[in-house]
Amino acid sequence: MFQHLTNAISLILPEVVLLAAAVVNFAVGPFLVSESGQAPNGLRHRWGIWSLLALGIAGWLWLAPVPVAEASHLAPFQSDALVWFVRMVTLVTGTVLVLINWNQTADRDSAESHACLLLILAGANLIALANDLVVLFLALELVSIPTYVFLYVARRDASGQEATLKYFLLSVFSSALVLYGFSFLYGAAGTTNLTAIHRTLAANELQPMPAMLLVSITTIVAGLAFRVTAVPFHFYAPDVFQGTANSAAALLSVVPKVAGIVALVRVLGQPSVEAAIHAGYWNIAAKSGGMIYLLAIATMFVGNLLALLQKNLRRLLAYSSIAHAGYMLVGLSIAVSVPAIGDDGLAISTTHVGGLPALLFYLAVYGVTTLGVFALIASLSTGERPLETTDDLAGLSKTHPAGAFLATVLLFGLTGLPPTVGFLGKLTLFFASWNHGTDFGRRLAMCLAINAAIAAWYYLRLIGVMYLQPSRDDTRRTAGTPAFVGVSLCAATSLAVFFSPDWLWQALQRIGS
Amino acid sequence: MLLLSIIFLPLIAALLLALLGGDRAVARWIALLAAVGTLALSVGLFARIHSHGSGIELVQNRTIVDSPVRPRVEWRRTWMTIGEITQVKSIAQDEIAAENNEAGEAKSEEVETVRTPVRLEFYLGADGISVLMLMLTAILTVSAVLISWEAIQERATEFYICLLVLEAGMLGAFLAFDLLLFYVFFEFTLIPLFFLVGIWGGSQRQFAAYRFFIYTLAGSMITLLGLVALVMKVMQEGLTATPFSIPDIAAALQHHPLPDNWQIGLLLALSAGFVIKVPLFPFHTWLPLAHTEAPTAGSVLLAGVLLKLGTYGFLRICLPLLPAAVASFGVPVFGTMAVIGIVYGALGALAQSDIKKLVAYSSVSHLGFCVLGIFSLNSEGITGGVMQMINHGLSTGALFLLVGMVYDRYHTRELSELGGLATRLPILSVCMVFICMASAGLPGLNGFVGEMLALIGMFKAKPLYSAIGATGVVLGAWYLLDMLRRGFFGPLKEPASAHGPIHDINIRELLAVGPLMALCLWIGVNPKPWLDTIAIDVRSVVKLYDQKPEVSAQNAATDLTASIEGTK
Repeated sequence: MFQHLTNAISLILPEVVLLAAAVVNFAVGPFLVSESGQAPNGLRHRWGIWSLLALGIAGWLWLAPVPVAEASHLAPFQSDALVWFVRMVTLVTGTVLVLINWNQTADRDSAESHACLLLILAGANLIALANDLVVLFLALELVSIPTYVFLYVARRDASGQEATLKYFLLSVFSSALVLYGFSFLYGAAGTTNLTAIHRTLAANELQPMPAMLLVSITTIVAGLAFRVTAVPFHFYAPDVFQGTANSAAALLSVVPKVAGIVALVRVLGQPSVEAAIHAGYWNIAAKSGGMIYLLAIATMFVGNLLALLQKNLRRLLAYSSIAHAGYMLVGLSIAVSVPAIGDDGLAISTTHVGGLPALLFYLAVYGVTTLGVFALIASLSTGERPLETTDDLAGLSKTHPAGAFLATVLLFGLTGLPPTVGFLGKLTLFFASWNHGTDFGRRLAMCLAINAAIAAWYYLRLIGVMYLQPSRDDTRRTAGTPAFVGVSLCAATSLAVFFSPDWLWQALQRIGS
Repeated sequence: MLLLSIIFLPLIAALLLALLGGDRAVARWIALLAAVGTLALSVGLFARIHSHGSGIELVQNRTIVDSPVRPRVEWRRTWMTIGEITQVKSIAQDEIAAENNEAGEAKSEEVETVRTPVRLEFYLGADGISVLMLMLTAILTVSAVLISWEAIQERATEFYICLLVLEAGMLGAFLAFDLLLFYVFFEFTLIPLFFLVGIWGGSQRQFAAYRFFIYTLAGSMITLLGLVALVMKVMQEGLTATPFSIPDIAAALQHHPLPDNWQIGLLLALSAGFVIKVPLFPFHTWLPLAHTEAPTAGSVLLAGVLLKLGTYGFLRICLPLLPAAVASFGVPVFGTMAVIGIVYGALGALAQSDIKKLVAYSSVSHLGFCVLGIFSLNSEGITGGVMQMINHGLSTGALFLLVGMVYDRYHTRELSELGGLATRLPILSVCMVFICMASAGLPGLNGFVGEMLALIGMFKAKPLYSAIGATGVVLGAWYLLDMLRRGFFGPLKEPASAHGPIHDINIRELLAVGPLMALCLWIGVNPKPWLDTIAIDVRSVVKLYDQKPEVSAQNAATDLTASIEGTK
């Protein structure tokens, strides 16, 4: 028993560090704030450095070689290349989020705010690690519950409260949906262990497919689609993004998407080619392909078309994040559906440009670029001169040239133009969809192309406002240092990875192959 | 390394400007130095290629000796390993036979799967066609810097940064021999041009910038999809292990062409971006506005170089890779569009009263000749098309420079407000007349060489297109001479609105336009060295389309030179 536990711990060392740091925040934080709520000036800097330290140690542990999971595969955690990838994404986005959050919280709230952030990041990692429906659900909640607190702490006025409440209610509802789906899955397969479930199904022991599995897949996909903000489960996002603080909107634009996508990848598994050849065979992945295909197309079009109409910056970015969720779902629906089969009974696609690597590559690309934009807004927005609407950006090229330049790099990244990594993200998705060899894949690629052209318009409009329109107030803006470091980090990454993407792409190709 | 430094010199200069953030006086000198340096480098590259003549000694890769696209200098580095290609190869036959004799096993099991990584590459190269385009780009950038010397007062540092970044993007597109890398540069040029038009343009600059950007981007997204489909198809057929390299893919497709319906589909998708960029009728609607609203330097580069990216794309990607579709489908479709463009553009130009808009419409007409020449699919025509690309770059670039000079002086380009400028601005008017003659295709100047070759080529292939296209030459002379008559001759008429004292062309302006005029004359009088440079490259493409023994491009060039000398 003890042996089991230490083995499990050794698999999740980086997460243990994050959780321990968060516990210290919660335990020590209250003692540094007086009973009337007065905190020493600059307390937030100390907590910020503490968070970065925790992320640094977690990163150092992440660099260590991945321990091999138990041979039985029946342990609650698994450790594979996907875990390595998700840890990297959460470490990078976590660092940027800490930088964004740095000056967004008051001194007295900073301990709790940073603690919640660390918990959320640990939760996202645990989703990738989970090899059991129960652990997976707990990890999902470890992301959700601290998010409610984070949202509330970040902005306490009426609109902030409304946003928090809205997010809370819908998030709880979606969690319930997921749990409901999990229970059906357990009922059908007789175990909560994911490896065992997939093995049972692959061995074709359930024949014919139990009808309740269809219910299960539908509710799980629907519940997780809330996290990914897929249309029609997206409607809360614009209101919540607009109503909450920049740091919270930044968090919501990335971490729940990572959580939802990774959970979907874990639960749905991969399609088996046998399933397509032999009439009797079926599997979860292939059954969900059509559903995710419809979600992907609806999400891309709704997100992009509605983003064209927006004036409020965070609302616009909310719709942009919905559109990008659609692009990711393109990758997911390619990853879970059966590719075209040649006459020889092998998939026609002879290359390894799979949907899964493309999806994960895009996830990382999107995470870095969109966080950079939020970091810029957080950095330049001040009480007297907020950046709330697109008009507030007018003349930014004069009032803060460096910021405007970095924003341009990031926005072209979201558009998918070279020389930013956004181009490679779209390119790999194109490759994956076309490589699939089916009409299904080709239709997705065409929709992606149309949407990329639509999206160019609203990103270009933002750049146009910054460079082509005169400012109302020509005095220079000052940028908040920590968040601006975050912006620079994101922009530099998105340029650098464009020129040498091979290390990441090679690592992603190992996943699931 | 020379190839790399050609792209990086303007980029480094732009970075330097961004970091130093100096004022206008410093910025324009740095920009000028960088532009002249790039010109020197590209002339160096030309000399290097020219001295090697027909050989491809500078290229290590021997597999492309037989390819329709053959860079004569190259530089390759891996960019991204996109996946693996699995090729099934039989193990050496006699080994299997030996084993079969002993064991009597089935033969089909004895195969070996070879996995080769498929790479995107930073694959730069240059052949005769691209090196001419490089020199054109470099010389027009020098002119663009010189013409902006005084005209750009606001945000000058940023202006020169954009100009240099644009130059790097255009040079990169002409140097790229990797499909995706070409697309990357093709797309990237939109960004600096958006800022050039949007910030320093005329009164409708924002609308023009957005429209041009979105229109072009939408087209090039379809091109990207076509590129992806093409590469995937080539990969699945297992034709080559380097399906992104244009020379390799062209060599492979030469012997194993894709099915016809695939070729037509791919041609349609790939050409979507190119027809908008050229632009061919009816996709030209973004052009007049963008040209008119852009600052002079922007118009020079847009008309002089960027439009050529479209025709260059046809020449470099569509012609060598999809021969069946180009011959059966491309010629009638793009030929018709080009012919309509020639006539429509010329009539459009005739109707303009704004000189700049007139020049913009004339571009639509002249680019029609390029496309007509390229799609004649014989060496005369393609040579003419390439020459017309260079000639249009020089003469229209110079026209925009001169129009810009008139605008700097009078703050108007309306022909109704101007007249008889020859008496007030004699030297400028001489330049204008000279360039108009070059543009109209007067024998002895460069326009004649390109237009004649393109029309001769098309006449051999499809006489009807050539006959209709030839009316464009007449119309071209008409609108250009009409513009000269109204604007530069007759009684002096100057706009009533306030303008400063009017001086004739100064040394700086002469330096901007003079070299272009000299080149126009040089190409017109002695086109042979230029035609020789591109002859082998044209010949290797034409080989795809020409089964019967052909008159080589070089012979054609010699014949033409003789005939030109005869006319004189």
